[in-house]
Amino acid sequence: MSDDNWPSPMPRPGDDDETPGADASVFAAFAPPHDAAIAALPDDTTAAESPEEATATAPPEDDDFGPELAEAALSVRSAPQGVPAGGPQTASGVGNRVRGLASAGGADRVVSPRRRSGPLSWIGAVLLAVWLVAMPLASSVTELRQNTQIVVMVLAVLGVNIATGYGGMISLGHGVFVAVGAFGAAYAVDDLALPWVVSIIAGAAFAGAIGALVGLPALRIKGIHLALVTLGLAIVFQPLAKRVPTFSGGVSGRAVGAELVPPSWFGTTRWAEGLYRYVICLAVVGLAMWLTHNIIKSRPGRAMRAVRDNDTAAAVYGVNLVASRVSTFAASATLAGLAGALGIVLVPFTSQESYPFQESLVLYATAVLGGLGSIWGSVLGVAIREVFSAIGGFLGDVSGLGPLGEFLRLLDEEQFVFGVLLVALTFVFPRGLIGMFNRSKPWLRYGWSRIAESKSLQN
Amino acid sequence: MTDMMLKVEDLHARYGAVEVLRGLDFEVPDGNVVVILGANGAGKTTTLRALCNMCTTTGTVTMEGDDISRAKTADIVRRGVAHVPQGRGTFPELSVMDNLKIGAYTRKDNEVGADVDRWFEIFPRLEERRDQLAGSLSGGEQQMLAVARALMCRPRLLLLDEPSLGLAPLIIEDLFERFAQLNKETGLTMLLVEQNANLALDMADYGYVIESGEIALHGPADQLKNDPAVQEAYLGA
Repeated sequence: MSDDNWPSPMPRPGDDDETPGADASVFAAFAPPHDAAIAALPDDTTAAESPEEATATAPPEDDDFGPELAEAALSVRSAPQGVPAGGPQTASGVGNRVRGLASAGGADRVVSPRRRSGPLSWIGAVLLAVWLVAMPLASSVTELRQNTQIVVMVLAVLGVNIATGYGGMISLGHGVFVAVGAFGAAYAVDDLALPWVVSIIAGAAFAGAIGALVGLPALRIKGIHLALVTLGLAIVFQPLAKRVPTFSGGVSGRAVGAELVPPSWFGTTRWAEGLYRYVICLAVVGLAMWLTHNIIKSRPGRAMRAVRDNDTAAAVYGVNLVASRVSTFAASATLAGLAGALGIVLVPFTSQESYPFQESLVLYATAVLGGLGSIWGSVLGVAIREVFSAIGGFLGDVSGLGPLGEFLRLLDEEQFVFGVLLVALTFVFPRGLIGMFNRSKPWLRYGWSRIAESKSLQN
Repeated sequence: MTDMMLKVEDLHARYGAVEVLRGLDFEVPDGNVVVILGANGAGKTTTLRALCNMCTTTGTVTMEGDDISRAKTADIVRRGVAHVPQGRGTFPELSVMDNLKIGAYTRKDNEVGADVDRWFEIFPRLEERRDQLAGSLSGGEQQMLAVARALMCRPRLLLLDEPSLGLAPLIIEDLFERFAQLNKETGLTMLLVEQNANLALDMADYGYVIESGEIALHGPADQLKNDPAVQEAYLGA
């Protein structure tokens, strides 16, 4: 009753395998020799003896930045850091894998499923790289702009991922932050006549500030209730935005007067202009992913993930829940705002009409589809949506197939394809599509969905 | 008379309208192991939560002479109070290593790595699994992780909330042996909340029995062990 106010234990694989065999092996770990080990217990006087130990064993960071894919596609990281002493040093690609096995001391032991990645990662990395290079060359001006918008969408999805996947706070209202970022940047670049760089940052920062405010309810409410609060925010946004015309352009929206034009050496054609914007957007997305990765791995990022897993326990170890939750939400809104700000670089118009609350739901669904708690999952979510829409569009256009053709025409509708994807993939990859890239099929064993479920039921 | 690590006077705690603790007085002498026994709902867990100021409380909690009853949870951790929560409370989606680092969250020194190695020596199983997600460990391993994580903040007072919960008898016995050794070798003060009275009283110096938020009985551990009331209620004799 009142005595049991700790969050009840979540379903953990370990909890239901207390078989005699498992017990015996656990017991073995407890067994002597402890005497020698106990003698090494620290207290404040003895611990200072071995500072070199501390540095020599800089622990390897848990690495879910998307295994080889990360290195191949962005090459933002150098060789793997922190290979345990004596572990084999290998070329960057397989480093993660080898490191995991080496530290586990043998192939019979299971390493963190996230650290393993199969050959699919390589295929994905190559496909992505090829698309990023070939797409602009093969695109018309319009296609190039549309595809750049898709690239920018990764930011918004990543924003949702930070709040939900890493912060454990379900947000169904991130479309609002995209809109606020767009309005903010438009206001800065036109009404305040600020340069583009400053305006984009201002738009993102403004969205981040709003995000911090919206994050406040998350201090008190969790799970499905927080989802409803953020959804409510997304719903009130449209009518609200119509009432502040100086900022949002009111009912009809606002056109953006300023244009981001490339320097003359870049070319003066409209295609070159598009390419310039594409390169900038791609760079910003890459930079944002890299920054996100570093934040997640840092001390505040670790605290963020700890709060997600068990906020009471995190508080016990001195994590400031208020600061952690609010800054997580602010960071996540900043990314969404950045997406909005870049959006007006691509299309010089923005209106509240572009941000019905359904857009927020789509962002959330895309993040889940790709894989919460994985940066590459967000990329994958956006990619898979677009790929299937394209396939559906193609099949829907095939004529002369009789009744089958009638059915296939359904596939021409983006919503239909997305809906089917959601239903199908939630069954196959409850942990998101990124699970496909893990060799050990962890989604069969241990799903984020299970955690999310138990958490929301608790609150 | 040893120094008092912790002195609690007239501690009340409530969740909303429900008063759970109704004026507890107890002491934890420096270097001792003190156990609080009680049935489900007696207020054991709440007592530990109240000490860390994690629920609404009134009363005085003094740690080494300083009043900490109004201190923030994080500041209490900084003073050297570590809490191993009931149900272990490990972070299932964090690696073993990251779990330990959260334990050292309030520390600013650069000996965290050295401490990790020390606890790995005592709990070698954790080292084998350092990169595994905590959620994939067995119950016993998770309890070891929870204790090691608590030790990472170099506590002077360790609060243990039903560490035996859900573990096999053999593992519990070994775990308690380790607690006793920890106490003996390092002088670490422990406040243990348990239902497993037998093992707890074997290890403890002093014991309190709480019923419905009040202290019903207290005394030196060996004396409590022979008390007919305790025997009937907790030892099944």
